[in-house]
Amino acid sequence: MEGRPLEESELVERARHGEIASFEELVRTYQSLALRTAQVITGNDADAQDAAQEAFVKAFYALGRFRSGSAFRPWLLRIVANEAINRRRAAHRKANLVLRAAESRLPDGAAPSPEAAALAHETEREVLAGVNRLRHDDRLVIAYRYFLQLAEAEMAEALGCPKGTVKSRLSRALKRLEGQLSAEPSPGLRAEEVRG
Amino acid sequence: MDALSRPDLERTLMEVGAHLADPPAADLAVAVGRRLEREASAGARPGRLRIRRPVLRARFDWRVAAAVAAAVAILAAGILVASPGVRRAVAGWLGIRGVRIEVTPTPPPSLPPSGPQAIHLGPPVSLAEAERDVGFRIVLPSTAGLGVPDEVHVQPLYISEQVFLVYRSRPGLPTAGATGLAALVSEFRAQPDGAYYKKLAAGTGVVRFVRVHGEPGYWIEGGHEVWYVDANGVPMQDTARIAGNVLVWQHGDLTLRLEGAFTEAQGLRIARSFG
Repeated sequence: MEGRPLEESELVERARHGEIASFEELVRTYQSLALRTAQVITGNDADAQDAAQEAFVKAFYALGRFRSGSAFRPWLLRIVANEAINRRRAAHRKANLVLRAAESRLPDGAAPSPEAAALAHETEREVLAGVNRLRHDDRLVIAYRYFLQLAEAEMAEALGCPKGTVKSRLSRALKRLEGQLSAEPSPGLRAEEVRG
Repeated sequence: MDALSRPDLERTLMEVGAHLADPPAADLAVAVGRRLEREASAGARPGRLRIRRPVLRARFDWRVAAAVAAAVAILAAGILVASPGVRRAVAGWLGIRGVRIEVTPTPPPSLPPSGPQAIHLGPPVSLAEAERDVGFRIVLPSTAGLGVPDEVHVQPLYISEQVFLVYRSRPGLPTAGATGLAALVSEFRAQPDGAYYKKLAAGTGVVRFVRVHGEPGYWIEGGHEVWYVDANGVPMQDTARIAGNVLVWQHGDLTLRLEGAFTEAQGLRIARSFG
């Protein structure tokens, strides 16, 4: 990760030579990112956890062909996303990403009024409901950009597409999200959208 | 909800990202480490890549070269049946550019239930859009009632820039399972150091070396599991999409894959009509 590139490349190098303890370090560094990515695709925690774990195992066996000096994070995310897609395909589950309950959030520095905070929460909730209704590939490109805040070059690597295609895929996904938001939300989704 | 402007939508998405409920805390490192230890002491991973430790490129390339050399002898006979004897003789990969085939002792996992929903190819696009995305001229078949496809998709997640052409059920061709599809075609440009892997289960699959307009290809019948290895060397697993027979062959600098319930003769006729 940022600030410790030497350490990471050394861990990768050791793991490449079969040192499992070094690989465990890499897993610790990236597990929350991997879980989040898998969760965006599978839409549920159990599948996300299975997918992330399996992806790390596959990544270990694939390390021999990882190019020294290239970025580990997008390389790993690609394996995670592929694993999550395979699981999702078999299980046919809808996405159910949820927000933390409003009360559990730390107050913002600017401390808006309770009404303004409630309104903001409501808007976020509706936007997320729209994201949940998107196809997994649209969700993934949106999540990489806005939830995980990957840079464009990193997105291109993680998605396995040319840099120019990232822009067009993101803009298509946003357009479809806007389409979802202008349509009536399906009533069945409402009760499940907020979780503590 | 009132429509948000694009900048407001993007800002809200950032906020959503900051407020998403976390996946349940899990220490995957321990679980992954244990599994790797177990597999290392047990030898090869059953039913997976038969590599005990990460294999560095130089050694891997040597292995492929040796396997290809071994494969030449077998291909001379023109036919390969996935029997244990042949498996021992091949002991690895058979390859043409962009395509490798592995004969494995374990059967592939059962395929997901077939049906229109079992195929996730991404949003449909027009042929022109697809050509822009993939960056090559898409070739189409011109026989058996196939021509302009019913749907076109670009699937960027497996092999970069792969296009899928979907042909729904039509007279003259059998329909594959419950998918309602007569044929599924995929086209991609094979990278010199990229690969497209297809894995076969012993005893259930037949692989035959074929030629399409003088270029090499394989006819594959029966259950199989697909691995893509992208340009970064990342193995990507995928299941057969419509659980049918597959013809995969080289077409100039493209690798084409045709999948459906048709016979070898029908498949070859379709393959030869691409232009």
